[in-house]
Amino acid sequence: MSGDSQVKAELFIENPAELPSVAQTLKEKGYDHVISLSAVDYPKSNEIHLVVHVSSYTKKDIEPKIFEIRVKLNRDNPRVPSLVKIWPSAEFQEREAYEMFGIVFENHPDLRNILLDPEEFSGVHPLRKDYIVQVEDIMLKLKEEVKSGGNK
Amino acid sequence: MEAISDIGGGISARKVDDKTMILFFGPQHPSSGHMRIILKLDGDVIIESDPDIGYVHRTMEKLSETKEWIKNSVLFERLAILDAGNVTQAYIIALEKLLGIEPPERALYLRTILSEINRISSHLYGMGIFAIMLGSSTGYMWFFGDREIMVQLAERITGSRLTHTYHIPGGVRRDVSKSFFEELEKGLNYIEKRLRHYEIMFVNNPVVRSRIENVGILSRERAIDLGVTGPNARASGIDFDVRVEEPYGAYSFVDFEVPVYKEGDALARTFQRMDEIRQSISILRQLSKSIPEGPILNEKYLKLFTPAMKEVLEKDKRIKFPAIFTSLKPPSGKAYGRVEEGRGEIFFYLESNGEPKPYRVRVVTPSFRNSILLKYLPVGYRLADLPAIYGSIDYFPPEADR
Amino acid sequence: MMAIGLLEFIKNLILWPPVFYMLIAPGLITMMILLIILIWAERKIAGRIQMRYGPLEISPKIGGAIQLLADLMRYMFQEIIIPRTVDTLPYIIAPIAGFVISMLPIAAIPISPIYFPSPMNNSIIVALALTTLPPIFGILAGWSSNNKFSLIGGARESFLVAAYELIIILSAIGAVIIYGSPDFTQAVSAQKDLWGIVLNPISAIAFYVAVLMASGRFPFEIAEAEAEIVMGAYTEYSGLMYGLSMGISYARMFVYNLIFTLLFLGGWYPFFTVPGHTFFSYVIIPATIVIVKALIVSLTMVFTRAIYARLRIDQALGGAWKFWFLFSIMGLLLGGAIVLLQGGI
Repeated sequence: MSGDSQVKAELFIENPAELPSVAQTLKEKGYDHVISLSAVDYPKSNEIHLVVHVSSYTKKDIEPKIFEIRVKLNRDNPRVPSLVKIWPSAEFQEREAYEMFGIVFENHPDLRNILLDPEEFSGVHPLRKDYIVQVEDIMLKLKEEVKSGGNK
Repeated sequence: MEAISDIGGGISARKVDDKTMILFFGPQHPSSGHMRIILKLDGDVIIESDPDIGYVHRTMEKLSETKEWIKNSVLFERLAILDAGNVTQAYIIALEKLLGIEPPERALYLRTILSEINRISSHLYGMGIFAIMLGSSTGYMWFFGDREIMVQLAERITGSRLTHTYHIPGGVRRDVSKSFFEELEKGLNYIEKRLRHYEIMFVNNPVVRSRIENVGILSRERAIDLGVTGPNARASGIDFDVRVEEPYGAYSFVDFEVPVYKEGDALARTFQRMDEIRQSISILRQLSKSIPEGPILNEKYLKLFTPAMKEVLEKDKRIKFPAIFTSLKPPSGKAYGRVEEGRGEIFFYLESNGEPKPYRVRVVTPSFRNSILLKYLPVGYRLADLPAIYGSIDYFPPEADR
Repeated sequence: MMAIGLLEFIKNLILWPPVFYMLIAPGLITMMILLIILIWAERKIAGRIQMRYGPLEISPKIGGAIQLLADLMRYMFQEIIIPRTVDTLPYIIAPIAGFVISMLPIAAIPISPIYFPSPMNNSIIVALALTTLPPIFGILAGWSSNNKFSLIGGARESFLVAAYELIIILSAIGAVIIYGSPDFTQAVSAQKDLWGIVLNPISAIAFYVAVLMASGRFPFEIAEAEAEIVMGAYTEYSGLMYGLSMGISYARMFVYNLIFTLLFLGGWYPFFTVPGHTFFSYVIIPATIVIVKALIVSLTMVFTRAIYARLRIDQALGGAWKFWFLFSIMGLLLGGAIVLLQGGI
């Protein structure tokens, strides 16, 4: 993918505020829908990267077929402008990134949990690397920290 | 929809007005699937619709970070077990890009044969659920009964009916015997004859036709904006199929058409799926004639086989894994894989940092991308149109929630 | 002496027309047997079309014929759960009263020319009036269940009943005009040479279609559409009350078919008597002929289960008011034209 085509197929943005203008340029070039909008957590460098893959239905000969945008966000307070006005197909995927990673999308029309229970998972973001999955015993509730059941 | 607010005492409340009724088309409903749609009704007309998905969320993306690379294909296959061949193929294509290997030609043909068989059986399943939501029990029984043929053919190739786990990095797990192609031909002839019966009894039935014609119209611009995928997009005039755009498997060796309809209503989607079944039958016939002989696994791994494993390969024609598979360590990097599943395009994005377990796996299923239709399409139609719209977009909750 | 007097008393009691009609034929016992045959035939026919066996487990040697008895026993032993939020008295009364009242028109429908329970001067009007009562209990069940789905089901039922029962009544009047009197026995004896379906086919067709929609069996049960409103007015019922509510549709359909037979299919003609056996020839033979004809009409109606899907409520109502209403008025006019041709009333 990224190594074997001559046309540049990805873009790395350092400043989150630049995202809407980059998205607008891409949309004018012909990329009209979002395939995947998600994030990757790098706790060692205190960053969360927002990864967006976009593609085109209208322009068949566009190169590259899938374009990747990576945005660097601060891990302690990840905020980025929402892409819903430019690409409406991002609406549900931004909600998922919000609940899984804690990324706040500014000006999103309806930012709330989509897959997880809003009461149990408010403020907790499971796909971050420091979220340890706890194993509960079925018959008894153990109060001690469960070391063996944690998944890293 | 008004927001839920907390009015104290642990009670949540939502403000409603006098003329409308809020109906929870909920998980305890004979035709809602594993999800809930919160509807706001004015008499019989739907004004707002809010899909509340996530009832069968199985945390697959988080789980995949705890399993080795090869074990993840068993995990992700449970996304849509009717179509398991297509889902694992996307993951394995991305993994092969990371490892830098390619399967031999016979393996490509076998992969594509399984993909097309799964596609036919997935479309028959979707149309069967659609029929029972409309109240036509004959359609339901016929589609499910005929799907049995396709599932048994998949069993001949892979050894199991639904969760095949057939694809491995570098090839496939089993080879087929010569008698398989005769059985395949018999099965395809039967399905082809039945397609005509379906049209007479189900699609052209006057009651069914009046229930699905001009219901759930999705225009082309709206479909592009919302990013819908699969037969739903092709029935609205978008000519896009991953098998043509980025060919994988043996698709570059066969000729097929991609049917496209312009109207965008539930009838067009049904016709689109039946036409796709016909195209799959034609692809399968071409593949079974021109499949070459050869190995089914890449040379690099075949060299690591012990004599006992080679003997199993000769006699039973199946692979026993070499030891390297349990500690496969792809070099660090990222790759994506996309495949046209029965319901649309499935997309995997893998990131590796050289460990035996993946650093991040991102999967976007076609049903998750199509779930936005449940928010925008039913508005303006009647309550009885909601099952018709739901069935015609072939939404599969376990796949959407992952 | 006392014993013989007691036996005589019981025999006279059973052969007294009101008791005979409501209990034996075409009342409770006949209805139960016919329900068994009808539902079994429906499931077997549907199974044959849908490439499967249908019921076969309970009595495999006779093709699973007593499956319905097994289902009824299951309903009888199932616990009746009454939710706390329902209005208890109407909730309990609704299916029971609905089932009993759906069999009430039998008191006005004769199955023999001289043996009937009530005076027959206006029997057609009385029977039709009594058939319009059961839907009220359906709406009562929907309202008392305190559930949004039941409410929608009750509302749909009221719309459908207003439309289709009107068509039934208009078609029946289209036939009554030809026979000249609102009396079943006279209507049947006027069909001695020519059946009503040949005299006024338009009214017969309108009656048949309206019965399909008004009695509410799958796949025409728009008021109880399972894919949309989870069983409609009867969502909250369980156990024997649920079984009763399913039986209401079949009971209503059978009563309508009895009326159809007497008005349009010649009633108990061809009528023959066996000399020397008055009870046999004047009660059993016409009863058998009428019931067999009604059964055949019911079998054609259950066949539609395997063919059609469910209409939407606005399509069903639109079809009723735009087309079938005008069609049944045409049947009225045709009846009037035939009377004029025959030289006045």
